[in-house]
Amino acid sequence: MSAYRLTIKQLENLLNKREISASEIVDSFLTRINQIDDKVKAFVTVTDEVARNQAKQVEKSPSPSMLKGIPYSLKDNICTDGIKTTCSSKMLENFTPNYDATVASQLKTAGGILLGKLNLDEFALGTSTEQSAFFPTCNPWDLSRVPGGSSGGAAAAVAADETPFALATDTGGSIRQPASYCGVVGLKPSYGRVSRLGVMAVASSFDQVGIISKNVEDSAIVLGRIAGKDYQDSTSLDAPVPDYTTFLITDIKGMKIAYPKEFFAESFDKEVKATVIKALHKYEELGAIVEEVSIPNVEYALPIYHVLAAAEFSTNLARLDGIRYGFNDKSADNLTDMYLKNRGLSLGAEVKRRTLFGSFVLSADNYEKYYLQALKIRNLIYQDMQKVLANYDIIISPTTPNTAFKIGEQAASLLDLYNNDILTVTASIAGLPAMSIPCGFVDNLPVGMQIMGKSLDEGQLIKAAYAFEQHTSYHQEKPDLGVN
Amino acid sequence: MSFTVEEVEKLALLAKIDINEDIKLYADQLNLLLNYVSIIKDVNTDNVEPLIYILPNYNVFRADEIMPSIGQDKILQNATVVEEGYFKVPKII
Amino acid sequence: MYSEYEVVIGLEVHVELKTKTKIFCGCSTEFGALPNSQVCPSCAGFPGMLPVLNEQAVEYAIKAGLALNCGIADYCKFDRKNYFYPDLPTAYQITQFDYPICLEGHLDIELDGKKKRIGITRAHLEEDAGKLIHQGSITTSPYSLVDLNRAGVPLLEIVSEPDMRSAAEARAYMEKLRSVLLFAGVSDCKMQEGSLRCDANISVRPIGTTTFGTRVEIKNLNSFRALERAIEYEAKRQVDAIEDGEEIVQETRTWDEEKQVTKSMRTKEEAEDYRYFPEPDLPPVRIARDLVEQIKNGLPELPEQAVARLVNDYELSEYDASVLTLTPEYLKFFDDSVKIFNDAKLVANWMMGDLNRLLNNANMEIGEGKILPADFTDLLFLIDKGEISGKMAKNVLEEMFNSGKNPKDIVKEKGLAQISDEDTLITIIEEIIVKNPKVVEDYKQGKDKAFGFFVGQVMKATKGQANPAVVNKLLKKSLE
Ligand SMILES: [Mg+2]
Ligand SMILES: [Zn+2]
Repeated sequence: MSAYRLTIKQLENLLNKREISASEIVDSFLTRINQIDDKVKAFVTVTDEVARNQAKQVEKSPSPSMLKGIPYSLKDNICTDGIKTTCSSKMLENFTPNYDATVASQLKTAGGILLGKLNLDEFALGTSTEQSAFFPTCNPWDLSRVPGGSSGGAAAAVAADETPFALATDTGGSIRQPASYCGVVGLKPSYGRVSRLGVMAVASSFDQVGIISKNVEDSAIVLGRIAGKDYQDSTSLDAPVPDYTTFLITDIKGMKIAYPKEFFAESFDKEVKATVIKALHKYEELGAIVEEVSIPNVEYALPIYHVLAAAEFSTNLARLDGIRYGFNDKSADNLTDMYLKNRGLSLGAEVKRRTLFGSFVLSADNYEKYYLQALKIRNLIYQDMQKVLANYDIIISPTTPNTAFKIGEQAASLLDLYNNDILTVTASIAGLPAMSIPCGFVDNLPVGMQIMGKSLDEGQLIKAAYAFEQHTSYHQEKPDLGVN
Repeated sequence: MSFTVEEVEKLALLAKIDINEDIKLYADQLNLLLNYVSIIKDVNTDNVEPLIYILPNYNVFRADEIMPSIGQDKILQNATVVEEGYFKVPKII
Repeated sequence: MYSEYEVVIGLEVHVELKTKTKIFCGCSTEFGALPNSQVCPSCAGFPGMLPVLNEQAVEYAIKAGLALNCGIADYCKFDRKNYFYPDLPTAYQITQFDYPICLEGHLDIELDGKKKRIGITRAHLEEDAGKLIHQGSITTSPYSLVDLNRAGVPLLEIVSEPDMRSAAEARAYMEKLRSVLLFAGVSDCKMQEGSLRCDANISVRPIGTTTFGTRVEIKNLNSFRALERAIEYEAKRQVDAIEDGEEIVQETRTWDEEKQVTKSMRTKEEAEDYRYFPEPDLPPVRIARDLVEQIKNGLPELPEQAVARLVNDYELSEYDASVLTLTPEYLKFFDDSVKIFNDAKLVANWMMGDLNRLLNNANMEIGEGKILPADFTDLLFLIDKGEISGKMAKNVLEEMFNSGKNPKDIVKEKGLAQISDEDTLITIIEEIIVKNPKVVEDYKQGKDKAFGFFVGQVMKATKGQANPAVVNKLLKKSLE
């Protein structure tokens, strides 16, 4: 079997037995990218030279270790020393950081091999990757459909076997929603679990770096590598990092699972809901206790998310002025004009819209009405979630209300586009870990199941996800891209 | 309340983003969004504290020890207009 | 007509804390480095970079707060103040909005022998911005250059109550504030280097009214003199406007040092909406009472305590004592000198008089001068023993100030020693008496002027080095 089809664990076994070399693995992936990325369009930058050199470096040092010689890719809002980091924006089209994000240096230090940088909605704002300033990415299951977003490049690349795994970011669902649309595993760790240093901020109090992989085991392996305290990120938690692979057990008898009725709303796709309910039955079969609960304030989750995230976003992106880096029009003859032009000419419509909205909710007249009120409701939702999690190990819901939609289909409807996050924002609002795993298909399009848990309790998610995965075969299904 | 074209212009100047060509479109979209989030105003939050920090941690400090700066060349490397070690901007007033 | 009005002044003082590194990153804060050489991706606002709070900055803030009689908050947090300017790389300043680290405090000033208490509203931590370099002035420069070395240096912003009623009071407050901060050891307070800066809120009102007039904020007050002049100018401008029936507009003005006038920068309507909100990248700070206690116990002697000590130990006047405690270096010079030469009054007089004049003329602080207490007291010994006259001592001090030499060496080199030897002087006196029989006659007939003539002749003959007391005594004897 071609190396590009394999998981981290499978590649590692071959490397350890010396049945394959790091260079051969890299070549296999680069060939795969070369063959199909014209169709999928997941990569903004392919770092083929860097990858080949790193592979040779890895081969020189004999001792095998976790992730050594294993290729990976990064969402292009994760800064990489000496490699362009564009955030899929015209603003940063030519920006080359001279520093690595902590997560990038962790994988580098582990001996991982960077294949390239992945497409996203500009500055990670969006749910379809259509907002990339460069090109939309296509869903490998149906190239006429979106892969989800904002980590659409990452989810599509993993689904299309262009990379064994990818690191991406999740603010309101940006890992889980595309993972769901592309039939792969997406894990957003608890807020504070993984360093945000060197990752272009969207909404600082929501953002987390996470993992998109082919299966649960790989997620557990990578999480162990990137979790933990970073002294340069004041919001990263100083808590012990367990060996997440110890949670890869199939016995979940007695596990208490809640499913909130609000997450199975009338307006959501019936077949998607039915698929997830079938999955819940599977859990019951496996000996779990599955019960319905209510999270009353969840109807406000998406509205407050839009207020809070836009507010934080508007100031996080204010640094993009073209003076120290980024797009500089150079034609302005005064300062105000320079700001207006540099930002106006290089930022996309969605970025502008949310920046304006964020500036609005923070302005003196609106702060209390919108921003402060949203923070209070954030507390209500946080408490709702804590109450449920006091009695249950995990919470399960669909990851998205629908399967992947057609490219261009929602472009006209702002609110439809925002609605794609409706099931994922709650965990983000409460800072909880959440995961999406494949749980079935509707019309040959993947359906994702979301598993949420207690803060820092990623182990429970991994355990529940692994048990389901081992008793089903959805994760083994592959999209047909006409090339093998 | 709803966004007028004038208000959007003011916001665009505050956020330093030129949106002149489709200002009406932005106003419409912002109104849609504002209308959508406005249900939060109906929630009774009388005795609810704002959740400012999602994490319980506090007093995260660094020691007052000098770390080598990355150097003038590297910090200027991505800038398009520089002069004698400085970033250069057009006239302020 | 101005006598019917009073001016109301509140000051916002920004002081750079003297940490080794910036408030949120490890870059050095050393003044005077090459442009943009003390900058990292974090303080230059690059994508994804995050702030980490410098613990020393927090401790200095607590120390400063305690020295300013402030309460120290149990809990404080940071906020973003959003505005675009090329010296602000992230386009927001991390500052403290609703939970400052230092709460209410006060500072006592003394003016014309009268004491007055000036309230301090609060003091909060924030980051400094970088520096802009203009060709000529900001209004005429065709472009500006940005240096981010200062961006991220920790600042404490100290906000006073509107308690001052004259430019002199404002100056006294600033001087007292400076001396307290210097004694507390939290800042260099160098106005010329920008580590101490001040904005003034100024309004006027008819005497007797209790409500405040519309206030105007004046920026860019970079020296004590600028502060005084700007307040005087602005108060007059406002009174004139009111007398002319105009209304004062709430606005921000800047002090034009060249033209010595205040100029409008922006009105209230044009004021930026800063969109403050909690900084999500920085967890809040809880300040343990133990820490506050510990810092309080570690506080060095502050100006007021030093004044009391000088009055008590050396019987100096309060005025003298307060002059001697303007800076810790000044006081240390006094203390070190008194240890060697125990006439405190003479030490004080020479420090506050001639030495101070020399320092002021050279625009220097005492620590920067070449004179050390050991040399200074050697000079006082020479005066005390009558080896040089007071007038000579002034010249010697100036020479010491310029060259750093010991006064004994200067006296020796220049042959300045006073002649007190009676035999030497008698020889000279007798020669003069013999040469001037007519004046001797005048003296004997009771003409006082005649005595003065002889003293003058002796001084002339000795090039002024004769000890006047000895000359007087010997002359009287010889003329009898
Ligand atoms: Mg301030
Ligand atoms: Zn720095």
